[in-house]
Parts: sequence; C-alpha cells; structure tokens
Amino acid sequence: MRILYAALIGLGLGALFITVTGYNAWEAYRTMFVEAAGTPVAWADVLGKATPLVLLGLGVTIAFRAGLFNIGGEGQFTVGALAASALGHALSGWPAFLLIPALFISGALAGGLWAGLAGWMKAKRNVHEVVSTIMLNYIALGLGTYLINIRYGPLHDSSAMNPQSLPIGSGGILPTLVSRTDLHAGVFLAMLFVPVAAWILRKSVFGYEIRLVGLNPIAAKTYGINEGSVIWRTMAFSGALAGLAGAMELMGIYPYLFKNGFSAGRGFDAITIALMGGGSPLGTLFAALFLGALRLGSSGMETITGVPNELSLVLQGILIIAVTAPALANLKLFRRRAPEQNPNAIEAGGAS
Amino acid sequence: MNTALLIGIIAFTLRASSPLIYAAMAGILSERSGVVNIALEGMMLIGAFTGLAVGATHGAPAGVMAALVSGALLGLLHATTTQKMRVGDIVSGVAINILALGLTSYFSRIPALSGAAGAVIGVPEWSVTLPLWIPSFGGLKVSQSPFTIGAWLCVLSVAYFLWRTPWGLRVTAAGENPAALKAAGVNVVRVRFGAVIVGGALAALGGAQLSLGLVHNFTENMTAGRGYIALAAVVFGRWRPGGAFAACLFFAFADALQSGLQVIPSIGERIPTEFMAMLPYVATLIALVFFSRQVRGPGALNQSGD
Repeated sequence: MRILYAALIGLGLGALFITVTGYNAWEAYRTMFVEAAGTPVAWADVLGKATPLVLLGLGVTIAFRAGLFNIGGEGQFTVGALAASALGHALSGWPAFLLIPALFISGALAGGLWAGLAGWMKAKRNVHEVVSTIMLNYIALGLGTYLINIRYGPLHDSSAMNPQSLPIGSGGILPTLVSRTDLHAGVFLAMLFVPVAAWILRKSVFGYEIRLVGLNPIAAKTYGINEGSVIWRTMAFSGALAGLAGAMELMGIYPYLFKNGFSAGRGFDAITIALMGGGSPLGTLFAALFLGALRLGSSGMETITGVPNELSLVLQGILIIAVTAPALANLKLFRRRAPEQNPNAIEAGGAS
Repeated sequence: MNTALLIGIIAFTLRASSPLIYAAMAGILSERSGVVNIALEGMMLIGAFTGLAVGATHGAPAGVMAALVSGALLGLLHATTTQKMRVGDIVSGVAINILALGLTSYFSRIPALSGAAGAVIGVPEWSVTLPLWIPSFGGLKVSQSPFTIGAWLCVLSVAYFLWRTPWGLRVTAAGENPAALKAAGVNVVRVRFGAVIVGGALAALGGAQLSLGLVHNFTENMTAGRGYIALAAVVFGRWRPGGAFAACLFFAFADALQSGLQVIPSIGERIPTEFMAMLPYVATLIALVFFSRQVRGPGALNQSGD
C-alpha cells in the first residue's frame, strides 16, 4: 500500500516535471505504459530486462539487512561480465553443460571479490563502504575500458573496428526464449535466487548473523558473532550476485560481447529496487520488474515522444524519497537514529 | 622530469583541487552539524550543469549565482528529507545523487531548454590572471582561476566560522551533542538546515568551477565521483578544514600526476591511459585504508535532532 502511495507521488511529481519542461505528460506516460506493458512481447522483454535487476537488487537487499550500503553494483556487475567474457573466450571449446556453469561461477567470484574487498576495508580498516564501492566502480570501469582498448587491450577483438571484447564460445551462450526480446534462459536462475535469498535470510545461520548485525551490532557481539567476518562475507555474497548478473547479461544478450557502458546504470537501479523492495526478496522481485518496465518504457517513450529517457532517473530519485520517508521503521539503516538519551539534558528540563 | 612539466603539474594540482576543496568544506559543514552528506556528488553535478547552462547564456557571474542557488536547493531537499521526513542520511544522499544525475542529463538533452545544444559548450575562458597571486617559477607565469583563490578563502572562512564564531560552535554542538544544544535553547534542526543548505551551495560552486573554470563544457556525470573523493578528504582530514584542504591537494595531485605523466612519452607509452586514469580513485582507496582506522566522526552523525 505504501509503495502504491509512493508510486503515485513519484508519478505525480514526474508529470509536473514533464509538463514544466515543455512536453505532454499524459502522452509520455501513455507511451511509456504501452511500450512496457502493451503487448505480450513487451512483457517478455520486461522480464528479460528485470533478470539482471533481480540479482542486483537481491544483492543490495542482503547487504541492507546487515546494515551495509553496497552502492558498487556497477563495478561488481562489470567485473562479473569481464570475467565471463575472458573465460568464455579462453574455454570456447567447452560444451554448454560445462561452460555455462563455469562462466556463472567466474562472474560470481569476480563480483564477490570486488565487493569483498570493500567489505574487508570496512571490517578491518573502518573504510565506509559507500566511498570504497564508488571508487571500485570507477576502477572497474577503467579496467573494462583497458581490456577492450583497440590498440593494446588483451581482450579486444582485433577483427573489430570498435572497442569490444573477443567472442565467447558458443557453448556459453544462453538461449533466447522470445525472439527480439532480452528474455533468455538466465531468467530461471535469477528467479530461483528469490526464494533462495529468502531462505538464506530467514532460515540459515548466515542469514541470522546478517540480520542480527544489521539490527543490533552490540547484541550480535554479545552473542559471540564476529561482526567483521559477517561484514565481509555479506559484502562478498552481495557482490557475487551482482557479478553473476553481469556474467548472465554477457551470456544472454546479443551480441554476447563486452562493450563500454556495459553496466548502463543498472548497479544504481539496484539501490532503488532494494529500497522499494523494503528488505524482502519478494518485494525486491516486484521492484525489479517495475524498474525493468520503467527502463523499457522510458526508452520507447524517448523514441516516440522525444522526452529524454533520463526521466526514469528523475522518477527514481523521487521514488526513493517517497518510499523511504514514512516507513521502514524496523530497519534502522533506512532511518535516522533516535537521539541517544542524555540523562543530564532531560534533567535540565529538555527545553525545545 | 623537466621544470616545465613540474610547474604544469603543480598548476594543475591547484586547479583540480578547488572543486574538491569547495565540496570538502561543504561536507565538513554538513557533517559537523550531524548530517552525513554523500549528496555532495549530486550537488556538484547540478552546480556544474546550471553554472554552465546559465553561464553560457547570461555570463559566468550569473552562472555562478545560478549554481549556488541550485546547490542550496538540493541542500534544502537533503535537510528536509533527513530532518523533517526522517529519511536516513545515506538513503537521502543516494536519492539526491540519482535525482541530480537524472535532472542534469535530462536537461542537457532538451534543445529547447539549453538553448541550442551547442550553446552549452564553449563558455569563454574565465581564468583571470591576478598578478599578486601568481607564483613565478623560473620566469614562467602560472595563471589561476579566481575559483582557486576563492577555494583558499573558503577554507579560511569555514575554519574561522567553525572555531571562532558562536554560530560555528552551534554547528559543532549540533553534530556532537544535539541534546545539550537543545537544552541550551537552540533549535538543532534549524542549525542543521543552515549548515546543509550553505554546504549545498558550496558544493555546487565546486561543480561550477569544474564546468566553467576547468573543462569549459558539461558532459553527463562529469563530476565522476569527485563528491565522494571530497567526502574521503573530509574523513582523511578528520573533519577539520585544514586537514581536508591538505587531503584535497593530495587527491588533486594524483589527478594532476596521471594527466602529467601521460604527456611524457617514455611513461605514457608504457602504462595504458586507463590505468593512469584510475590513479585518483586508487589513491583515495589507499589513503582511506591507511587512515580511516583511528578516526572518529562527529558524535551524533545520522542521529535525529529532536
């Protein structure tokens, strides 16, 4: 219900914004809706667009539950795709039943390592993960650009004029389920992670540690939980999901190559998704579908009505505030802490 | 390394440091008052855009004014969400950064609003040569933009404000012990609003320096993490203006070094440009890894003020 209010507020402010900037808001929204939900093909495409977003969103959600802000999805997604691209080329002779899992694992490992580094910095060195993950984003971006540099990039396809990676083996390609859409077989694995993440958070020891550290680090310590270890393991797991998403995107979307701008802001979409999902894996799934539709709809809207598709970013900014403002009371991460009670101040009369 | 290159690197360090310095001072004001401010990135970005867009049509001074206003508005938003709507500081900061990225990219693609798309590019050189301030090395003159001198004055002003004025004391108290400040009859929320709004304007000024003074152009997401680097400088400088200033110089030096070294053929050919471009980010990470451990921020960061 709260999400509904937030979406209404977001769309309302967005409409005002479109009108003020000289476009027809009704026309823009109508086009966006038709493009994203008008036909069964569009639904399939939304599902395809949501596939990496589900994994990225789950990663951010799990980190949230431990009180961690993983805003490095862009970088983790990128290194995951790079790892799959490199390995997919090196092992191009492998059959699909071996190559596909190998590439999934390589992407998850790369993303996990990338985020795990930020986790280690947080646990051992008190480096705030917001700054470290952003720095790692730019480093990953540079790494990708280097690897496919036309002149000296070790991953660059010398037969191509543009900076793009070498092709992966045909065994590593995930079959497209509906032609001319982004929907590929990876969607099954991505969807499987929704109940898996819910199980991990609710039933597993790791999930219990994550929740306890997120809700009350002091209590966690009293129970003998090693906070530092939980922090870096959570970050690594969160990054592994993002890296898996990157690998899957490379293996599932034609032309199965790494190019500059590969992550295309999806690491940041993941933050909106996790916030809208309110910390629950099922909520994250719905939010990912919504963002997938927003992505598809806004690019269609730009082509047809000329309203820049960056409108979707403006909407996301408004949505985050609208969604988090009144609620999420039980997750302290989303809210400002209550003031620490200072007995002297209260005795002094607590004038306000 | 020859002298000309060395002077070039020093001059570039000074230029590249000023956007960071403005943003770091903004971060100090905001965090000293108890509000975590990762929205610095978005505030810089919106300042870079409005500064250039308004500057291109109405002249650079108008552009600077517009940048200040746009940043102050984002500051007002950050203060409202965190102090009135009780959104967490980091969530609000992320939202503002996404919003600013969306707004600036959106507007820079609307021809009707930015004049012709070409008008956004090509603001006349605004670096003024001030004879008194020019350091001369071996007969070579280095001109610095007024923004750079402004940045140094900004450090002095923020330091004076924080340590020597009653208002500065209230800002620090709002961040250290809001309950005590409240007991003394001061409205904590109002103090924080002031600090975050002024900070927003300052960070936007840093962004305007980037677009108007340094690059003479606006490109999508042109701040490229500088807001976060400035935040790292605040931590590195232990929430003190002087310390953050030194940290900004260090990070800007890493930036200058990478562009300077690329020019030297013997190095530029051997090390790929992409690795050089990573230098500021790697330097920031390493600095944080070595210096974050013992630091402690203001006591009531991210705590409610009422």
